[in-house]
Amino acid sequence: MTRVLALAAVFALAVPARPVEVIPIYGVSFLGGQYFFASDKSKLNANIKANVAPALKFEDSNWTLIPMYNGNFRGTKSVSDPVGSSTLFQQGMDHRISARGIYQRQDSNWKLKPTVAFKREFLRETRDETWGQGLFDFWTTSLGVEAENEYQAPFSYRFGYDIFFTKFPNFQSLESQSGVDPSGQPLGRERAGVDVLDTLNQQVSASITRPFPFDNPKVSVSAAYRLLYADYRDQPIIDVSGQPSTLGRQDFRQTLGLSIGMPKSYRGGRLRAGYGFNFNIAHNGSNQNTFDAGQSRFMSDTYSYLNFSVGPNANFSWGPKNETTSVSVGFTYSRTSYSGRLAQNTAGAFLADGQTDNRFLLALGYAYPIAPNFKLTARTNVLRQTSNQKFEQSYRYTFTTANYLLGFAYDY
Amino acid sequence: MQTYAFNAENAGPDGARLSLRLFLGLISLILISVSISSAEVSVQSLTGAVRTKKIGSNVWNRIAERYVLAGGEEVRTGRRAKMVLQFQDGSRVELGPKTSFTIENAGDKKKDSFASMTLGWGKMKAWVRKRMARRFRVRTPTAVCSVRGTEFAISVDRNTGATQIDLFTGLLGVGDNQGNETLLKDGQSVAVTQAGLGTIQGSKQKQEKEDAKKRAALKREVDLSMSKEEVLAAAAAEIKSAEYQLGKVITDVNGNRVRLSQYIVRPAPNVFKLVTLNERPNRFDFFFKEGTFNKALPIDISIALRQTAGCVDTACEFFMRSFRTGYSNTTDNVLETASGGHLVDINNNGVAGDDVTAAFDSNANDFVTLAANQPFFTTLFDTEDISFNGVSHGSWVSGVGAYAFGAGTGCVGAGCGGVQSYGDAIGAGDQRTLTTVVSIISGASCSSLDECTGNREEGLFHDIVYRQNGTGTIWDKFENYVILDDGTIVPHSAFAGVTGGADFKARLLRVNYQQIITASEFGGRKIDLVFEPKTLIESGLIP
Repeated sequence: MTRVLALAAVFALAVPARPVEVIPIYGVSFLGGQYFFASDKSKLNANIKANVAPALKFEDSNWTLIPMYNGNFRGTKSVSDPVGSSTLFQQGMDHRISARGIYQRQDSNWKLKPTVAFKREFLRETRDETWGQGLFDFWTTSLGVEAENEYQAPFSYRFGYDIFFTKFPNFQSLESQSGVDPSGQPLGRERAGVDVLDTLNQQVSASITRPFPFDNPKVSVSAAYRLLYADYRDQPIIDVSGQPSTLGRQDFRQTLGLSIGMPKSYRGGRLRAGYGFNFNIAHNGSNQNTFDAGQSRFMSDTYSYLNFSVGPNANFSWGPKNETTSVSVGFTYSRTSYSGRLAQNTAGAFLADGQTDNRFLLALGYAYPIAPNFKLTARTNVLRQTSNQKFEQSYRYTFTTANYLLGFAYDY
Repeated sequence: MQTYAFNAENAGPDGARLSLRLFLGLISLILISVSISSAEVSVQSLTGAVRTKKIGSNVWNRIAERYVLAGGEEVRTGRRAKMVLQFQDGSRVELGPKTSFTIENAGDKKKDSFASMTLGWGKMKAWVRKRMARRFRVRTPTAVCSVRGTEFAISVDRNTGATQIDLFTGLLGVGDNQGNETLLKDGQSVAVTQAGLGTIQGSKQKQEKEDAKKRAALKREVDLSMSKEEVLAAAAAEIKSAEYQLGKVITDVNGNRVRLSQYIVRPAPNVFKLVTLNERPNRFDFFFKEGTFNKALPIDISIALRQTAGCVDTACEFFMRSFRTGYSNTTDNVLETASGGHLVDINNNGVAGDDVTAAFDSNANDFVTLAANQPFFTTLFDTEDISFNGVSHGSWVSGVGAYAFGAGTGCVGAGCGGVQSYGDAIGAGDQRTLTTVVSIISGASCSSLDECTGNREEGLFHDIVYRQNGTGTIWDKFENYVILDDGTIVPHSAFAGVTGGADFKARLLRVNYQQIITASEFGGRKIDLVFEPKTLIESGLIP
């Protein structure tokens, strides 16, 4: 945290002291809703979100500085959250502070955007967890830079590099805490890691948005590629005999996304519509294996997978520009195939096929203006997952889940 | 004029060229005075690279200050360039960077001709003298501006030709390519595209529009920043999801999260130790089973462990000589030890009542049925003891040093020594000497439900096994639950009436097993463990 503040201070000092125009950008939403899993439902709970970004535009300078605070409280689970233990109860909150600089010469389309950020996420998933003591609480410190060429606003191409460290302060391997058995013999294995979930990550990214036709845009096409390298600094590779080796886990995750958007207007522009289609493919290559001690089974490449998702979406809006009523609908199908994680039958016996999960997600949204920039919103998501993994002792692989959220949102 | 431009570009501070520079400067002055008197537009000031191309020529020449533009000559400014053009009547035009500008006709104050020019793309700002005002015209790819005022700015998008016209003072006539015209007054602006004239906006509206544009651009930056943040957050979420999916986090019967870790330690070539660790806030419990085998274990330890539950038809290659099983909360412990392990074909040991008719086959992860007298080799131990914090609650030792079994066909291992059957406590085949400390308390012997063996929640898998000695000074209690992944106690109905046998155990594999152990030696503390039942089966704890 201290390092982040120091970096932010250095960054702020690097911007010359000049007359400043402050342009506040903020938004807040208050939503209440429920989460449904199988035939159970959670209690009514609130989701609150707040964003504040007082952008500082320095006159006679090429610099703009955007300090940001983002806060979230989630009382209602998202359908994409893991459905493992304690399936209904989950409360989370996160707080993120960041500073993004934008350097752009007056006569240039290029923007250089260094960013420094710190995020703390708290999660309560069981009744005995208190704020700050959640097993999966984490913080992330990130430093990044992006170069963007806005060759024809709002179309641009961007290149980015980020380095970030993620720490789970409450999660240390149990083995590192195991001590000795009643006879004084060690319970842990040699070379067992301690902070096994902590990662140092580096990411390079490139993306482009382009209009078609170029001179008279009717369709917008976006393409983005990311390569994320995650170094699990304290998670040793498990070897074929189930023992930790001297090598550490390393993951390479590549993501390629394509999306097409087509705006349309009807009835002389009174009804506006946007149609889109998304396609994403992601591959995670990990050198980590697992050893199922219960089954005495070594499984190589357990964390590697290939995922792709496709789906259309549409939104419709009508009314004055800052008081629009809108309806949105989106459907996504995704499929994840694990390279080394084998499917099991209902009794837990391993099968020859790798585990494959299919997900079908339907999302609906509605927003009704109450005052300029102030909206009544309603959202619902329904997710159906199926899998050839039939062993569901500690995690559900085939299920249906849904949530709904109703409330207000203000954006300025 | 080109001579001047050439010299201006190459002139340097070199003292050796001073006389030459003076000479050239003199010549230049003469040429400039001639130009101004005969031409209409000159370069008043200039920064950066600016080039011009004369009409009918393909050559672009770099120019400098005081250069005089000819009619039809096109000017292009560089990336960082800026220039100011001066008209004969004092009117001025400032060109921004990356601009294409052509003087079509500079006008003549003596004649009534138009000063007309074309802005192909880029930005220009004009200050027009009143006497020139009615004759000053700018054309862009989408608009024609006829000036009737004094100060205005025009910018043209290079790709689309879209033109933005801002009038600061005076009057400005604007027409589009469709022949529509409008008149701008002080402070008004209009955008003209291929589609035609846009709506006229006043200075307040313009300011609002500019503010909105600025805000939209910054909002976009905020959104981009948040999108990137979502990507980083997804990486952390995926780590958590993997922990759940691999069954390392479950919930117990009290709704508390239990972290579960299970692994195998190999302290010696012929020793394995299966360890199960449980962690909850403020407590840590563990279970382990350490087995010492008859020979060095293979790298794939499953080959040996599959044989610990017994082998059908042929003798096991791997069997345990001894084992230690422990439960602990790091303060208290239950330790079960056994030694003298040896293989016995218990279906052919000549002892009635101990034959096995169904055995768990780890390969099939299920139970298989055995025919009468079908060989089944299992490990029997000669000594066993169970103690709580070092206090024995029961033990036995083998009653014979060696046992000559028939013709020796059922005996495997060195000397075929050791007990050949457990039988039951009074069975003829039982060769053990039992030391019983505690006995099961149930039914009418119970003093309370908490100290009574039996089911504790009707219809649910919640049972107690309570044992004590005669005076009740030594006791132990095992409270067992069968629970789902979210901590819900499994109802008996989930087993569809199946309460025993192979099917019962197969169903048991799909749930979790929670065992809470208390004892007279624990001082009110407990050992609270959540297992995968497979662990118990593999360890031989569920036979």
